[in-house]
Amino acid sequence: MRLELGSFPVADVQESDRLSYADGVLGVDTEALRQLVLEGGEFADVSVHLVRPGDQTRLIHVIDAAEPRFKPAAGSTFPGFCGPVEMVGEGGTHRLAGVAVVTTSDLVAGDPVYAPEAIIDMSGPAADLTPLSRTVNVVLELEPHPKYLRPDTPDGELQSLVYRRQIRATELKVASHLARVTEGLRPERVVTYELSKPARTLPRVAYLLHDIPWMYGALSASPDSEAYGSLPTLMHPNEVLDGALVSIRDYEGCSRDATYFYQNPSILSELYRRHGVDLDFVGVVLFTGGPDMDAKRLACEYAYKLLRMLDVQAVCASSSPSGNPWVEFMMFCQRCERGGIKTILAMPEEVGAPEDHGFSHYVPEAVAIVSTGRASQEIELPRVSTVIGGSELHEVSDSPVGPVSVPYTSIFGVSSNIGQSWLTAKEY
Amino acid sequence: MSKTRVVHYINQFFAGIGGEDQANVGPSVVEGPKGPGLVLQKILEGSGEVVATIYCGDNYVNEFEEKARDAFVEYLRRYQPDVVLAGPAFTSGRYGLACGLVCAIARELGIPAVSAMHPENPAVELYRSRVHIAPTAATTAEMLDSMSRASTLALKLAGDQPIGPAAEEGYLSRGLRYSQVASDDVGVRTVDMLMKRLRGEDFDTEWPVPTYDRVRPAPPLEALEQSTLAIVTSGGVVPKGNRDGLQSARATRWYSYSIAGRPSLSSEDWESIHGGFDTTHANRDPNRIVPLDVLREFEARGAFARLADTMYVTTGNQSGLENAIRFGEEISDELVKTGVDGVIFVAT
Amino acid sequence: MAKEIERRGIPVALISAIAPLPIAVGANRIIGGRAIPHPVGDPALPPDEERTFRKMLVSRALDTLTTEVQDQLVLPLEGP
Repeated sequence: MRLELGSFPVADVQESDRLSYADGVLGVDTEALRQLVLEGGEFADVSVHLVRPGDQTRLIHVIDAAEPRFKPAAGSTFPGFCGPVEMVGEGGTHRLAGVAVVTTSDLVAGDPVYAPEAIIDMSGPAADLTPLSRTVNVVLELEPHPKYLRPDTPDGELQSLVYRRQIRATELKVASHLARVTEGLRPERVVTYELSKPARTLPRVAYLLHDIPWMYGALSASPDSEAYGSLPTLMHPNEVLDGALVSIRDYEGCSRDATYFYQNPSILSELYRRHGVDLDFVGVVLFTGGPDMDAKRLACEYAYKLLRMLDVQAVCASSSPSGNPWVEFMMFCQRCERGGIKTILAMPEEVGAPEDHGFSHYVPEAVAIVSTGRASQEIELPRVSTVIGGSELHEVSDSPVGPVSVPYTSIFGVSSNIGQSWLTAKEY
Repeated sequence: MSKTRVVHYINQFFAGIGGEDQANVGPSVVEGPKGPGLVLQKILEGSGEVVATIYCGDNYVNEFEEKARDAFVEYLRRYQPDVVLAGPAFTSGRYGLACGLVCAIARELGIPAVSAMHPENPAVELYRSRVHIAPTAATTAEMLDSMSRASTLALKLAGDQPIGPAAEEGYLSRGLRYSQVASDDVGVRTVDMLMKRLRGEDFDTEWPVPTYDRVRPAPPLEALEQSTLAIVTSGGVVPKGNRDGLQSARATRWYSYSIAGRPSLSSEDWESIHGGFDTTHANRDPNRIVPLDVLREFEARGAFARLADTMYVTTGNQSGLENAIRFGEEISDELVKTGVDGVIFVAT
Repeated sequence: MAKEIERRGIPVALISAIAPLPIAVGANRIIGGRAIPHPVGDPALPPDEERTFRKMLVSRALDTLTTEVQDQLVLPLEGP
C-alpha cells in the first residue's frame, strides 16, 4: 500500500467572494460555508470565523478539528462521512497544510452535566503547546438545532451522540469542500508512505492505539455503556493517515482524540520516519477494553495475540484518556511484558495533586512511560480581545475573556499522545 | 552582594567528639566551620560563609527528639542563616535522620535547607518530601563531590531563583510532579525510548511507577495459642565469635541460628556485632534486642503454642533496599517451609 | 524485610525504636521500642523492672498478631 500525501502549504486565510488558493493564501467565501453547514438542517445557526496564529483570540467549547483533504482521483476523503465506505491509504491525497477546520458547540440534551472544557488559544502560553494554535483555523461556531435541546427527549444520551456525529460530518464536509480548491493543481511537496520490506533485518515494532474512534464511519466499538467493547483490530498506518479514523468522544480537552491528530499523528509518523532505518514498522492495532474485567482481559489477550502473529519485539502504545480504560491499558502492558514484548506507553497524568504519584492504576511492568504532562496542574491564560464559541466556560466561573486560571485538562490537545504535543512532567 | 550565611550540621563523629561511644552527646553549636565544614567553607569561597556549626550525637537526636529540636530551633534563631546545610550523611541511617530533622526544622522556620546523603539512606524516604537532598556516594571518600553538590543547591535555594526539576538540579526527587515543556514532541520521545530499550541501552521512564508499594496486611492469627512464632531480627545478634562472619554494616547475607531448648540469650554465648550503635548494653544482655527470655515465658504460659527452633538474623545497618527485599523473600521461604504462623521482628 | 514476610500472608509484629522508618516504608504492625541499641531493654531500670518492661512490649507485639489491620497499626512507646 502506497500513499502519496501532497501538501499545499497555507500561510494565511482571507475572506473572499469565492474559494481560491494562490501563493499560500486560502480565500474563503464564509457565506457559502454557512449555507453548506446549514443545508442539512442539523443546526439553528453557524458563525464562520477565520483566525490566525498570533491573534488575541480564544476558542472555547471546541469539539473537534480536521485538516482539509481532497482525493484527485475518485475516492472518499473521509469514508463513511464524505463518500462511500472504501479503503483509504492508497494512491494520492491532497492536503491543505497549515489549515484546520475547527468546530465549537454548546451542550445539547443528553450531554453529561459535567462537561469537559476544551480551549484553543491563538496566542499566549497555551498557544505554544498544541499544533492547532499554529494552524490557520476556519472556525465553525455551531448552534444546535432545537430538536437536540429538548430535555425530555427519551434516549437523551443517544441524541447527544447523534448530534456529535452530525458535528463531525459537517466539519468533514467543510474540510473536503475547502481542499477541493487544489483540484488540478500540483502539490508543492509529496511524501510517500509505504511499509516496504527493509533491506536488512530490523526489530519489528507495532503501534497500539487505545481508543474508540469512528472507523470508516462506523463505531469501532459501541459507546453504549452496557455493551461497549470490541475485539482489537489491525490497521495499516496509511489508513490512519488518510482519513479512516474520525474523533468520536468529547473527553477532557487536553487529551481529546481530534480527527486532526489521526491525520497528523506523532508516534505513528515517527515510527514511519524510522522504518527501514532503525526499525521495521509492521502495523497499527486499534484496541479498547470494556466495562468489566472479562471484557478487558479478552481485549488484552486478543491484542497480545495479534502482536504475536505480527512477530513484533516491541510496541509503542498511546493510552485512552484517564478513567477505567487505564486499567486495561496497564493490563495490556503487563500481558506484553510477560510475553516478551517490550512496551513503551505514552499517557497523560490526569489525576492528583503534585505530591500524588498520579496513577489511577499501574503495574510494575510499566517501566517505560512517556508522560504527556501533569494535566491536573493549572495554567494562567491571559486576557484576549475575542472569544469564540460561547460566553461562559464549563467548569470555571471566571469569564473566558481572561485572565483566567484553568487546568491543563481544559486546553485542547496539550496532552495528546496521538497528535503532536510537547507537554511532559518532571519530578521536583 | 553580601555573602550567603550558611549554618552547617554534622554529627558527633564528624565534629571530632568520637564514634559510637559518644553517640549520646547532646547538641552544641560553635561559630564558624568545623570538620567537613572546612571543605564546605572552601567550596563556598567568595559566595558564602559558614557562620556556625551545629553538632549532636546520633542517638541523642533520635532518642530525645524534642530536646534536640528545642536546641536546634534556638541555634537557628541565634545565627539567622540564609540556608542550612546538613551532612553529608552518606549511608548512615541515624545521621541521615538527624540531618533530615535539622532541615525540616529550618524549613518550619522559613529557612531553606539542604541535606546530602546516599539515595538508599533510610532517612531519604522520611524527609525527601520536605527537604532538598543532594545524592552522595556510599562512603566518605566522595566527601568533596558530595559537599560541592549540596553547596551548589544550598546557594541556589538561598537565592531567589526558582529551583528546577530534581534530575537537572541534582537533588533527590521530593515526589512532586509538575508539567514541563519538552524540546521534542511525544512521538520523538516515545520512539527514542523504544530504540533505547531495543538496543538494551539505559533509558529513563518519564513517569516512574511507585516502588514503595503498600503490602496488604496479612490476616491476623485466629488462635494465637495454637500458633508457631519465629524471631527475626536485624540487630546483628549472633553466637559469640561470629563464626559465620555476618557483616556489621551493609550486610549482604542473613543467617539462621538454633535457639532450641534455650531459655534465654546469655551473654556468654551471644553478642551483637551490629556496627551502627554501641553494643555494650546489648552484649551485657542480648535479650535487650532479642527478647527470648520473655518469649519463653509466654510460651510456657501457653500464650502461643511454640517458638520455632530457628531464629533469623541479619544486620540492618546501611543496607540497601534491594538486599532487604531479598532477605525478606528468602526468610519468608524458610518460614513457610517450617510452618511458622507469625513473626516477632526486632529492628534496631 | 517485614513487608516481604507479610506479603506471604504471615503477620509480622515489628518492634522498632525508630517507628517513623517502618511507617514510611510501609510496614503494617509496628510497636515502638525503647532505643536503637536496646529496643526491648532499658539498662536504666533495675533488672526486674526491665523484664516487666520487656514483657509489656512483647505482649503488645503478640496482640498485634491477632489484630485485624486495615491500614497501618502503630503502637508508639509512651514517655519514659
